[in-house]
Amino acid sequence: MRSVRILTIVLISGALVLGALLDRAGTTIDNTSVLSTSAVAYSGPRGNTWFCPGGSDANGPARVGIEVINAGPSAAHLVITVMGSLPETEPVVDTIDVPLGGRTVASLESFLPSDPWAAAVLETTDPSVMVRQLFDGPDGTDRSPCLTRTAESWVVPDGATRIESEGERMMLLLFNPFPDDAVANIDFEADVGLDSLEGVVAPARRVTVIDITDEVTVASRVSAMIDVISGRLAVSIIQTHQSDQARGLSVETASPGGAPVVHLPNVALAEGRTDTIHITNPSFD
Amino acid sequence: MSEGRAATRSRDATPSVLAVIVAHNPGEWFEESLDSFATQDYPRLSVMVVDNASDPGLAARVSASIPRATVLDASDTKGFGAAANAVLDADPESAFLLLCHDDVSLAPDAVRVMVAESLRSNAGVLGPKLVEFNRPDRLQHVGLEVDRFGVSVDVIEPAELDQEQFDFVADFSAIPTACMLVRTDLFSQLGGFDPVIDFRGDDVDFCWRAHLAGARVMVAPDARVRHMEALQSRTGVDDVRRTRARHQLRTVLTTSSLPSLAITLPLQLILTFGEAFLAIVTGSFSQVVDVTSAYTWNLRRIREVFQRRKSLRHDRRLHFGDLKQTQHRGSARISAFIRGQIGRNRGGIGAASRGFSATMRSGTARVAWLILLGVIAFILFGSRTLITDGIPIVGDFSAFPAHAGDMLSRWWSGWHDRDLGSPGTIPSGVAIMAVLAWLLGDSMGLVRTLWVLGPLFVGLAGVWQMLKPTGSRRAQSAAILAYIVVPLPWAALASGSLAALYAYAASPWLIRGLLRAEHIGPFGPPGGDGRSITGSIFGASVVVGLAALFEPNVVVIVPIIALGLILGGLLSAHPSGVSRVGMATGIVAGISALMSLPLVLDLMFAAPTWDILADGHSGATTSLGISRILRFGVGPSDPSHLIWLLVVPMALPLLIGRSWRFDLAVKAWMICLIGWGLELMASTGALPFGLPDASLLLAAPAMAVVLLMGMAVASAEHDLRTAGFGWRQMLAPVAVASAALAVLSSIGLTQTGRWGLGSGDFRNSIALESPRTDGSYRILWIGAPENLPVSGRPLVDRMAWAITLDGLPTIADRFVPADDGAADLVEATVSRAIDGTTARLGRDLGGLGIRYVVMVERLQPAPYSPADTAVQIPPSLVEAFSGQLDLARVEGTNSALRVFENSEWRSVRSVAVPGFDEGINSLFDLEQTALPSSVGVLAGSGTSISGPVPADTEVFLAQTPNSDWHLSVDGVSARRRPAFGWATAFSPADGGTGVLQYSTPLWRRLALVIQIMILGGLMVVGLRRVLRPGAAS
Repeated sequence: MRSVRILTIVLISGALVLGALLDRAGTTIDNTSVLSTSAVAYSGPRGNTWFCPGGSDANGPARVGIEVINAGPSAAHLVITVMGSLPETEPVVDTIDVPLGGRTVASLESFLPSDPWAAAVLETTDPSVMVRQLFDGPDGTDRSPCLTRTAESWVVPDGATRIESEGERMMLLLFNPFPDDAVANIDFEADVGLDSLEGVVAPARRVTVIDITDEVTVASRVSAMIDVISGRLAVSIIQTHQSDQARGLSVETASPGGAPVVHLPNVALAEGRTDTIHITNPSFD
Repeated sequence: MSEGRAATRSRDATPSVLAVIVAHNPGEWFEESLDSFATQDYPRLSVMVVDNASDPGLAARVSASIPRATVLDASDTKGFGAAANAVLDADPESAFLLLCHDDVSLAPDAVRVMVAESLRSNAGVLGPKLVEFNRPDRLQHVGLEVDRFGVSVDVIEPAELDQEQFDFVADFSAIPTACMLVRTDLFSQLGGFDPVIDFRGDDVDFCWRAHLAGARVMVAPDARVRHMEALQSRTGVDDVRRTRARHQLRTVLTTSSLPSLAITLPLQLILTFGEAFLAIVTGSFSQVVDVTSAYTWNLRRIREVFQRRKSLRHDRRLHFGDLKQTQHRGSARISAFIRGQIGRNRGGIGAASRGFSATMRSGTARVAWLILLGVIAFILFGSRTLITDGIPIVGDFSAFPAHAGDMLSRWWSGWHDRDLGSPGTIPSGVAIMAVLAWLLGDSMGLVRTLWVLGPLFVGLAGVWQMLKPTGSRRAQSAAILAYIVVPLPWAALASGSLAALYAYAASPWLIRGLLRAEHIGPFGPPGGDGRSITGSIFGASVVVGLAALFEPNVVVIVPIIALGLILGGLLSAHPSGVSRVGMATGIVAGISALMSLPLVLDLMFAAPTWDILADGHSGATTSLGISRILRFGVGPSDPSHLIWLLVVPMALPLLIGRSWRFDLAVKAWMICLIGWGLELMASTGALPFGLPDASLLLAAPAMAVVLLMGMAVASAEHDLRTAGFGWRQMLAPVAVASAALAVLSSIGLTQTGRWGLGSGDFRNSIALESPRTDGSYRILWIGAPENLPVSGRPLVDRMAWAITLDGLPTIADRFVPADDGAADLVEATVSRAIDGTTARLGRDLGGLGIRYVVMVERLQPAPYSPADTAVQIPPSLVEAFSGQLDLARVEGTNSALRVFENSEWRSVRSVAVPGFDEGINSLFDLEQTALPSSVGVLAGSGTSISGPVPADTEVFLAQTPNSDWHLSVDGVSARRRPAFGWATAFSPADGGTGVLQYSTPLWRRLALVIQIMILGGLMVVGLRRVLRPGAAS
């Protein structure tokens, strides 16, 4: 009896200790990783929806067209939904076919001729297409890729608003392709100080244009952090430069947050040319 | 000569007495009894023995002792009273009748003393001091107190010594018929005893009538009579309580005045109800039958009652109000209970009776009862707000339909509306509740409250019964207290886990049944054949089967408990009962399966997945650590750390227990380890598959802890006494103190009156359109399994999903069907969103009829469920749904929810132009091609839906295709075809009134009918077992 009792107590105690050790070994709650931190295309079957924040019509600073490049083995079929900036503008749905190895350009103005601004969503099942925006304005031309996802936070690292002295104008395009309104808070960090816009409403299925020049004036360097508190957006920035010395148009998509490593594909050191790297810290630390 | 003449004159002056001895197979004491009559010093005593169907030879025995005695044959009568009445037919001329049992022995002067006192006091009925036959120094009866309900109690204490403390002549309500001196004219006037009252109650009835006739009923204690009280051994023991209750009520009905009856009968009903309730709680079902059958028995004889009342009116000399002066005030039964008097263990009577009164034998019994009542009060007090305000619709506590008929029709239909629809049986507990609600006048709220809180009391009764074979009231008391100290039931209530409550309720019954089958210790004699295993486990099987009717997952406790008992038996080196436990477990499984026959058939014919048992769990890790597992902290809040103190009493039987105390303790510990171990593996993700909810897995260990508390006390009672003084004696008070402190932890839980469950639910937090507006729709629920309003299927990252139809789900939607239907389509659709394959999830969901996607992060809406209890939806899922171009986030909803409305939604039943799905061969083709416009029709749930169907349209039915669904328009059956690659479309010939109907397969209806018959049969068998002699104990 005594031996049975001791054995029983030892076994039960041992089981409890083992359980405690197993528990201390740690449990991690694994979650499926977030789909992507990048908002631009990557290879694979994913990313068959493109969000193009768009641009202006011919009267604006950056007339926008959509360029679709098909690098796949067969013709590509895309559905394009073009959305404007005006409340009365209904989205227009059409299709774009791109032949094998081909390239097709479509002007967004042609879909919504009465709207000064237009953005687009392109959907396809073909993973071999690439979609980007082409801009053409009085201050220059530019190209920028469309985004493959929307996000709840965006960072615009650099811009300038010295409209009087340098003719610099910075515009933010908030594209909401979803059927519900989005609301965002925008924080500006400039060499002239801090500013913010609270509760900016980006209506459903519309592109909203914010002229930052009117908000943060006379700044040679402005970065913007967009925090979408409700909904999701696709964001890009249009920077124009119009002075006697220089003219330029730059359209960039915003970044969906910071990154620990950033690869800059082309930084040149050459006579007569200066490349400036602007580092923006969107965090609170 | 003159002395002789004087003696003769004196003799002639004394009234004659005829001693009437009613004999029925008297034992060996009979000669002594007869001799006592023969040696009486009363001069004018004659003896008549009434033969009440005795075996041959009685007359010879009588004549051997009293040659001049007469023997009267009354073989055609039953009972003492009827036999004694036979003397009336002999037209006795004596002045007094001395009516006696055949097991009394009179003191030589007893008759003389009684006659003298009767003459002096003008008593109509007079009795002696009755003492025990073999212990004449102990009092047996000295008069009886009787209350208005006809219940009699002795004025003496059980086994009280005769110290002349009752040696005074006094009036009483009644005296026993063992020996009573009655005036012959009075006896004749009253018609003797009530012939219908065969045993028990004849004395009260006769004495009350004597009172009403104006006679005095008295006791002359100077007359001593020894009484064997051998009635029990000759009449059987099982009907003591039953006959007593019947006869008491009959006496009240025949003798009480109408105004008195108007008060007494309602009070009697209240007392009966209270006794029945206590009997149910303690599992004494035979007692319920006994006390309630008194009413039906008397109702069958109501004509007789009226006749006796009429005849009594002629004899009445006393108002009933005057009779009340002699009665015990209040309830004699309750008074005697308080005095600790009722339930004397007098050999046959005490051992035989299990009545409410018979269990009150000792102080520990009273304490045990008081603790039981206290625990019941604790549960009721802690649940007070749930009872008064209703139970919120959260977790497993699903809403009930508005009418009982709706529940019943859903059960009978054999179709599940949930998910994408599938054939299958809803657990029959739904039907039982529907019937109960209907009986209670459609009181759905009341039945719902009983559905949730009722198991607490069933479990309490189970614990009481589980420890009963130990014979220790203290052990029972300790277990009863442990029942409320263990946090599991309160955590289950706070987290909306019904399965855990039912498992906790069924566990003690199962443990008891398996231990009885094993024949371990006090739970049964060693050895036994197969039949006794079935007999031992039958009750437990039925309880488990009943619990499974309401919560099928409850069956999880069976392998945990069985394995624990088997391993415990092996570990404690007593493996002899292990095979019996195995066999008994098989029987439990078999009977439970029979009771859930339709569900079992569903499982056999479908290709069930583990989802049915896993309740949406996928094997992903959870945040429940071992500390909370061991403390049963499965609710939203962390239990008190005082619970750790229970370890001391849990360890006590392991350290000091011997024999069956040690064996049972080891078994209980094994049950604990198995349950804890399973939950630890589930919570750490060590298993590749999901297990049921933590609260369900821990129900059996929780009950094992309760058992250990009882074993701790049993060990202290049995094993400390035999051990020498040492550390063991020190351990016992430490264990008691630890347990007492642990009790404190449960007191705070009663503060809110709802065990920590919030008062709100999602009814007012989600604004949903009525299906009448645009047609029926589905809701896709996503969240942690414990937060979903119905049982779910695993999704990703510890999330589960479920789909319900037309608004918030009801109880019929709770259970995962055995047949998955097209459920895999839902998972594939959601996966496409998670993978980023589509940004048009709304079209896919629309094709499934899903209008809303609700992501639930808490059990209840804020602020009823604290934010720290939230289980966040993984960012990947949120992003997947937020990034869909056709899902609009519904703003302004509660912070516990995210709600998306599908802008591409189509009604579950809609009409569209013919050929609407041309070119769409699968659901996912909709991502490329927008859904054709359609209009919702045939809105509603159920298996027969009617409504207008326009002409020149096709009806699309977005549900799992099933050939038993038919559409007819104006009586003309519509042609069926596949649609969207997974659903069904109907092409009616013309427009009109459409009826969409599901024809339940005949075999499914037959299975339900057979199930009803099985349940009915089991109920009959169960009642018979309860009522069978000797089966009650």
